[in-house]
Amino acid sequence: MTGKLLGVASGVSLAVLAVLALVVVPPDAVQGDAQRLMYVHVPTAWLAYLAFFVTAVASVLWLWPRTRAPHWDLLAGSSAEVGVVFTGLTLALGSLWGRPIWGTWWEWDARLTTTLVLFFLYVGYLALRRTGATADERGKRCAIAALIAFADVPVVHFSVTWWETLHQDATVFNPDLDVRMEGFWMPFTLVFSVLAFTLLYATLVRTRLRLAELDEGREERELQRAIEERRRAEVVPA
Amino acid sequence: MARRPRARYVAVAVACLVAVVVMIRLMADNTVFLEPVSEAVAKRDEQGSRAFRMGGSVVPGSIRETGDDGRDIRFQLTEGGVVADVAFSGSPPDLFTDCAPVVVEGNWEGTTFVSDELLIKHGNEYEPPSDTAAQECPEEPEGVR
Amino acid sequence: MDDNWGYVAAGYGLTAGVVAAYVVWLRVRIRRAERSLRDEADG
Repeated sequence: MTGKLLGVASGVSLAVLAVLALVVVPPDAVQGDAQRLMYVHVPTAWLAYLAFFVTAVASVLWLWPRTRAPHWDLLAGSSAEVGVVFTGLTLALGSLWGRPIWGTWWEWDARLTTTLVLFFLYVGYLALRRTGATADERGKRCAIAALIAFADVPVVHFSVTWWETLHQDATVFNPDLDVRMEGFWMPFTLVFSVLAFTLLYATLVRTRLRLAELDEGREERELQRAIEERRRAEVVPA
Repeated sequence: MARRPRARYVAVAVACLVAVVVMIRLMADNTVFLEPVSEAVAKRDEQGSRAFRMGGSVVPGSIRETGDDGRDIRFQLTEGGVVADVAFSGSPPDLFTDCAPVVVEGNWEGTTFVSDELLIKHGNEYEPPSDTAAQECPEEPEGVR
Repeated sequence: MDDNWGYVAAGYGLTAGVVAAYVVWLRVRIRRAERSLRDEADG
């Protein structure tokens, strides 16, 4: 029930966002209509940050003996998959925005490169999740990898402040926390877009977690059957 | 369970790690140093013909097309009260106009900066279009230094 | 400046496409997992 409600809420808010961003908001004085890409590029990046943050927290909860439960490992993996999808989307949207405004699809700029690094770190993490070993061993290995990969998230965020980049500084979460947007609709739509994508994240990770639970149930059964078969095989020659 | 798929996933994980190292090295190698106009001009003699990036804002009214095909453009960049002549060949982005915050990649040839790559470094400020078009550049573009 | 709408359309289209494709892929995998669990329970 909650799942259906979440899905409907995120669908409706994304539809409202599309109307706000494509029709209601005025174009930027300098960039014109291309600036409308901001209302998908920024929340997409936000969703990726959020997803990897959840993966990191879930990994800590799995590593800490007092809170350890298989559930945290599944949540960490589910959230990372959603994060990878949206990191890829952020890169593509940034490229589409960079072409008309900067004059280039891609630059080996600190923000762009660290984001690409983030993408590959978590693709590597997802591959690591599918390697063998016992659930405990794999869980530990992946949780540690998730924490190492997460170190890149603050590097991505502050890259625009630390290095000289073609990419602009943050409009909202800059060091002075000074919202650099004029009028009502621009900042409103940006905030709304972040809320809409947060709902979308909740919907997607919830669904992905259900899949993870189903997969684990199947794995457990396969293991059980393999053990039984071996036991039978051992009994026969004796 | 087959061993094969596991080995494949390990290979993917390792390949990703290698890709990360390569990308960091690419960034370190390809990050051409960005100099604001004032520093680029001050260091003109020691730069020689070495390629670097220069950042500043376009001096209003300085843009002139010298070729028929619109690919050869001369203009001036300013920053910190210093002005530099730039000769650019290529197609500039739409936002290349008076006062635009520009990054050009190239090298000095005498007192002219010769470039074939021009990028716009846009700031993080947004506003709806206003009726009063500014004639003077509002301020030094942020981020070029 | 007007042709920038092409980039905007591509960006919003891509976002919608990726989200829709991911949702479909999740559903397909869930259905497959449910089916295999059911089959095992039967067999």
